[in-house]
Amino acid sequence: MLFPTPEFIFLFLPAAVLLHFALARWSNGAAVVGTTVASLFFYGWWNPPFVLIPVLSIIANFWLARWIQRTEAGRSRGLMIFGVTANLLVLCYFKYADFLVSIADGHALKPPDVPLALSFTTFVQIAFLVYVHQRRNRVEFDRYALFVAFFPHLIAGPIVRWGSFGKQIGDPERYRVDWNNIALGLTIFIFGLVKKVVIADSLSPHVAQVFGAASRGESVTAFAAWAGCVAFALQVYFDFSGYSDMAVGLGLLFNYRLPINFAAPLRATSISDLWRRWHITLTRLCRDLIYVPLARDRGPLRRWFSLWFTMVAVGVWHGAGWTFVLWGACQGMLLLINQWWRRLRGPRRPTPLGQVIGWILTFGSFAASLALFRAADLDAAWNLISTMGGLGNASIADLHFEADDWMIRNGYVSDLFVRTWFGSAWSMVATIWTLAALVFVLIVPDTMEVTDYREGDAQSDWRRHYGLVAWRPSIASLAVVATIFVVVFVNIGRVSEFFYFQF
Amino acid sequence: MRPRTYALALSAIATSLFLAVAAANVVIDPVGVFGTNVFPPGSNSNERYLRFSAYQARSDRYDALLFGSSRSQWLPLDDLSRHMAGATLANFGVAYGMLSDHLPVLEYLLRHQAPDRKRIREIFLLLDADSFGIRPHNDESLAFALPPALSGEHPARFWWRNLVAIQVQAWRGALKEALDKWRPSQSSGHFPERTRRDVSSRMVATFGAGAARADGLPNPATGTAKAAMLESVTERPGYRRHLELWSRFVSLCREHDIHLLVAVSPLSHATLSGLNRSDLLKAVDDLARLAPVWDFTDAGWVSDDPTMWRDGNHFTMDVGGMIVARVFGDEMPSRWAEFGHFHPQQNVVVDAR
Repeated sequence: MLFPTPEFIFLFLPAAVLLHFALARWSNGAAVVGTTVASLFFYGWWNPPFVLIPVLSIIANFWLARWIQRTEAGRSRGLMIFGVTANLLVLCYFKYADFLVSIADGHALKPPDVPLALSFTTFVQIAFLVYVHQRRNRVEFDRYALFVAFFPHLIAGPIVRWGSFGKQIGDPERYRVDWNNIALGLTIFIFGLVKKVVIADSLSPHVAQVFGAASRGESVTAFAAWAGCVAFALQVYFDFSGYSDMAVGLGLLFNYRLPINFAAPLRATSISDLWRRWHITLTRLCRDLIYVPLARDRGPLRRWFSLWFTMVAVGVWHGAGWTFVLWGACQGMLLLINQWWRRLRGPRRPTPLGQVIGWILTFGSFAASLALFRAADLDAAWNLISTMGGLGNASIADLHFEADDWMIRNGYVSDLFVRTWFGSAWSMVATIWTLAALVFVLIVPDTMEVTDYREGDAQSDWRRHYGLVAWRPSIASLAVVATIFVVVFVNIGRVSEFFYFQF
Repeated sequence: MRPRTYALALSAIATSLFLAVAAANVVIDPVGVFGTNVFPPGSNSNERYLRFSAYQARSDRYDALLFGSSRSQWLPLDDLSRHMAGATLANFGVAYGMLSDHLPVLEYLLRHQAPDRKRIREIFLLLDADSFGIRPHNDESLAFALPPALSGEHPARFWWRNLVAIQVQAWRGALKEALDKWRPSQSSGHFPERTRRDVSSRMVATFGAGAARADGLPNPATGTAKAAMLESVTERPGYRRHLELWSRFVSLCREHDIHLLVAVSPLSHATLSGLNRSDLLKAVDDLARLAPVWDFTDAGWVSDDPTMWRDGNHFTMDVGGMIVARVFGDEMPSRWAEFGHFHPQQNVVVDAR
């Protein structure tokens, strides 16, 4: 079950919220257990036998955490390392085993059949074990089970931390219906839906065209390669941040405040700033668990290596394959270049022109690097990257896309122009969609700005002042949000129609 | 506005929207699966579901089956039945019908054949060579979805999909059709002809773009270089799968002692002009490796004569009558003497995968 489906929105979600607060009237513990069971049902909907994985993982990690908590500090470190390693081994088995074997025997890599949300639950539990080792707090099983399994953060994060979310689950004040949170939660959820269903899903087929052509070894034009990567940057942003917004909104329906995961990162004017605002919960976790232990009290060389290595780990977390390793390494290099530039430049504030140049370089390099992230393999990635660098050899396409017919027929653009610049893998319609999404990213305020939601905010001054469009419960807000929901609803419920009478 | 009012109003709007869609689907019933019958059955009905339901309602009376695509609508069923020694024929001819539609039906019927009832003893299968290897259409529209008993889909999922689908054009079309039927003076004799022709133009477009659709990619326009491309059906991504389904179909007929008659539909000049003809012959040969086949694909003058075609894809009832006559060995008029070629089975070894 996914969030943007009618069965989730109209059946599961209302049932889960009603069950939670109905049980909370009886006891808070019952609400916690009820919502945990509902979350496991949500997980099992996808593949019922696989629900055993989070169940066993929760039991094993809880047992280990209790052991760590009871053990003296010296020995508990060993237990914590054992727990972290065991979690990583399970993740490796499902996600990276084929990749690791392919390194040894050179066989062609197949997409791994990874259990839903394994990467997220693994990192959530690793962070938990480290937290218990450091703080040695007592943990109750029912709270811990909900902390890991809570369905809003299960599919695509944000990655929650025990120090924040775990405490909220134990707070008795949160088990009474709070209409402020429900109103805000519904609004944020609907904003997330529109990002995912309307914007990201509209870009998806255009992106697939370019990357599909590259993976088949077909030559694409330089414009199409750049446009495809820019469109993918936008698609992945709207997709992922949409899911994160939905998670935050859903959490609020239960009176839990999940952390912000995206803070308008594509407006960032430096790659460091972008990574402080992109998938915030993952980068913070990697900072705390990888970068800080590696770089602590060491010289600049060690810190630079630690930064680079952390980004390689971030890349590997996203998927198994050399493309992800290289993508992470590339992000690490970009961060190092940015650090050296800042040392060279000193503490001066950038001028407006400098900010524009900074944005172009940041967004351009990030989008270009995504060729590695999205491409099916290294050959396809190289096909795109070399084309973006002017080494392509695409000729004028024989055909233009059907979608461009209307514009060509009405003289808004010439057939030759379209076939020359866009080739056989890109279209005028795709260009318009991509530009519209880019303008949206740059101009329209982010969900968290409009709603002034600040839980786990980014460590950068990213918020603009949008007093006029600030959300509050009002008839105008209701009209806008309801209209957005209608658009979303039409998109998620729309089926392909074929009629004898249509033409 | 109080947050409570806001939240309840938003929830009420969402719920109303959901209920309105569900009510529209049940009342208008554009694909005919709910059987509410408030409006007469429309031309967008789910034939797969309706034909299967009709069969199940009277399963004890049938002893022969007809499988085919929309082209099978122009086979004379009475003639067919007469040639099959008066067999009672269950018609499973459906729009876009392919082996991926027919095989699940056959498997189900044979699995659920009660020993004390009439058994299926004969099948007439009309195959379309131009659709070999094309991705099945079942997931593309609710009108093509297989019934849960055949697809393995959970019935709740099937009904839920039909309940929550937003299909504005289907609703509008069903209402318009109903209105036309209630006002016969304004549209009688005009609508059915128009609709059938329109189907075929859509099918031409769809079949022609088969390879692109198989990749899930938008269709490229056909503006500048279409003429140079002749499509080879045996090179389509789904061709191997098509042969596997065919092998299974033939095996089932043999296992259950069912007499299988296979005809490959005639194709119009318009359709043939987009296909590689030697490749088509190879495709028919591939069929004939497992079972004898009557090949009407390249039907000579019939392909070229516009009076033999209702549209670019569908032959007339005259052609349908001649297909039946040829398959059952009737005397043919001299003009039709060369119509259809018999391909005897070339290899008795059946791959029973």
